[in-house]
Amino acid sequence: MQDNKSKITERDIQDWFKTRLVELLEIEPNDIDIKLPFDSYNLDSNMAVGLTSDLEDWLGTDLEPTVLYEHPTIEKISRYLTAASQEKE
Amino acid sequence: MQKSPALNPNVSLLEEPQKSSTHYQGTSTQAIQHHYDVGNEFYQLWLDPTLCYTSALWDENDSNDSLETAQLRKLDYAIAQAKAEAAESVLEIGSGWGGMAKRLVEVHDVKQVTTLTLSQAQVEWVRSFNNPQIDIRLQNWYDHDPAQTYNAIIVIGALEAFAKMGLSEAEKIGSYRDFFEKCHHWLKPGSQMYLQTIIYENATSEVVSQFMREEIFPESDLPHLSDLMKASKGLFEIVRLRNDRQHYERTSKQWLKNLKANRDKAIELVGEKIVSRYEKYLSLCAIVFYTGTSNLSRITLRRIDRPYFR
Repeated sequence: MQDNKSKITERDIQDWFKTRLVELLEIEPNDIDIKLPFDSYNLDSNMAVGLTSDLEDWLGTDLEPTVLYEHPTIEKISRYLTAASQEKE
Repeated sequence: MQKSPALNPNVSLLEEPQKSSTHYQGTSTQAIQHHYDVGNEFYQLWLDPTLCYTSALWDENDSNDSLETAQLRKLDYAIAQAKAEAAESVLEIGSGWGGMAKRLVEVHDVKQVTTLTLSQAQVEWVRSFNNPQIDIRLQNWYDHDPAQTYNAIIVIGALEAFAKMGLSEAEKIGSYRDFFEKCHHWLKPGSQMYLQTIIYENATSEVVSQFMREEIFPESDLPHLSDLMKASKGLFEIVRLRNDRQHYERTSKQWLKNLKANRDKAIELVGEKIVSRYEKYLSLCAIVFYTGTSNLSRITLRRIDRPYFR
């Protein structure tokens, strides 16, 4: 991962996902649980591709297209991205 | 070419699938050209130098394996499986940009390759080799009627266009049956065929997204492995089968990386809309192979010379 935004925290990433999922899936913020798999929100592969692309733009980095499947909850993806970012520093 | 008794239309090889000349005969030229005739220069930006546009065969123990090395390994594997080395004549269905045809005549001492495609851009590209040993034709497999039989047949990344969405299972199998019967007819006794194709694994056609169906591969549908077993029954014995979806996931990811690395040039050539469409398509490919929605089958088939079911 080539990170351009080293100051983004795990909590920032969690908040970003919560906001995006509320917009994308038209659900209530209270419906989101960071430990729930993405597919439990009926996030399909088309949405996953779009979400990953938005995430790349926000982080300023390239990500694998399968990243949301390899780290399939908000908690796991946020932890992974934070750790990957720290490794780059 | 004489019809073999096994292919006499009055002789039923199997009770099912039904043999019929009304089966679907493959994706139209227009649909193929929608995908492949975006422009050769565009594909050159993100494929490897062999211009192979199907899954590579990676060294799973080498994370530094290059795409070009893995594509050449794929070509050599297919040639070995089809027993095409030093053959007098080989038929290839699905020419791509001629990588296989070149490999056959330049490295594996094959005397003559006949290769079929529905892409005009690919015909022009391969004809530019000016190699008299490579006969490329803009021709549907269904219309192929050679004067002589072949020593080997290689089909990589073409069977995906032999059926379309909306056909019943029996109709799909009927189309594949027509294909296997023709291959049986075209091959010399004792010969082999190699088939590499994407298949549905943990899914059916209903889960294929509208995006893939309409924007990427119009008029195309995939087989299940069991469809191919039924369709080839009594005509070919399966010698070897590999299911390598991880190889296609890795190939798709590498293509996507290459395209992103050359994004500005790609936009200059074909515009941002098409580049974005390909980025989305390659991302979806990586996902379907990662999740096992689809798989990649590499199938080695030996011609049954005296079909029991005749």
